[in-house]
Amino acid sequence: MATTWECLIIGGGPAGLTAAIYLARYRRRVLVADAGNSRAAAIPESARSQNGSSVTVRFATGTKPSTRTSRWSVRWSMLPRKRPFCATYSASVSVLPVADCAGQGSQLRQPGIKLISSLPQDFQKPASGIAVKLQNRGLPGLRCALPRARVQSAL
Amino acid sequence: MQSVEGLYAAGDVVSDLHQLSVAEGHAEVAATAIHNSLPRNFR
Repeated sequence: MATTWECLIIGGGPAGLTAAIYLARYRRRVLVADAGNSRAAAIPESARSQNGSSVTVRFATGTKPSTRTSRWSVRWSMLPRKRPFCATYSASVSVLPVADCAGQGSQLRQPGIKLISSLPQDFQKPASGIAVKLQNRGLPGLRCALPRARVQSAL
Repeated sequence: MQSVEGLYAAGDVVSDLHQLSVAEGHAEVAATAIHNSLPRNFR
């Protein structure tokens, strides 16, 4: 298990997990702070029968992949698939609940790189715990930028 | 362009189209930018 992180990702949704997988492929050590309430978990997963007459809708919170994978359900069951996939990079990626990440802030490698992929109301909570520690580690302005979402894409 | 050095954003926080493909695309661009900005390692 890695003890120092090169990047902290706040939010374990589609964007956060994608970035974690990419950074793991770049052999970077990543910590993902995940509150577990990604908006993508509320996307219904549908399975359509062969003749198209019956449609069952469920929510993509389970871990068992859909047996009938249509073109759409592959995308809609994204989180249950992406989380275990992320776990295959466990040497580089750690997905932790937000509360468990506060103590990890001091182990972030200089200079602390962060990627925010969570909604403002979600990351205000970790911002109070994590950002305070990170503020003294070369990132002034982070604390005020988080609640106001004054962050822009890397494009 | 970043407004805060060392801070990147992707997904719902970005004021762009809220689609899965857009979020993943931003995440991939951001992850690559982060990787390039970090010192090289040879693990």
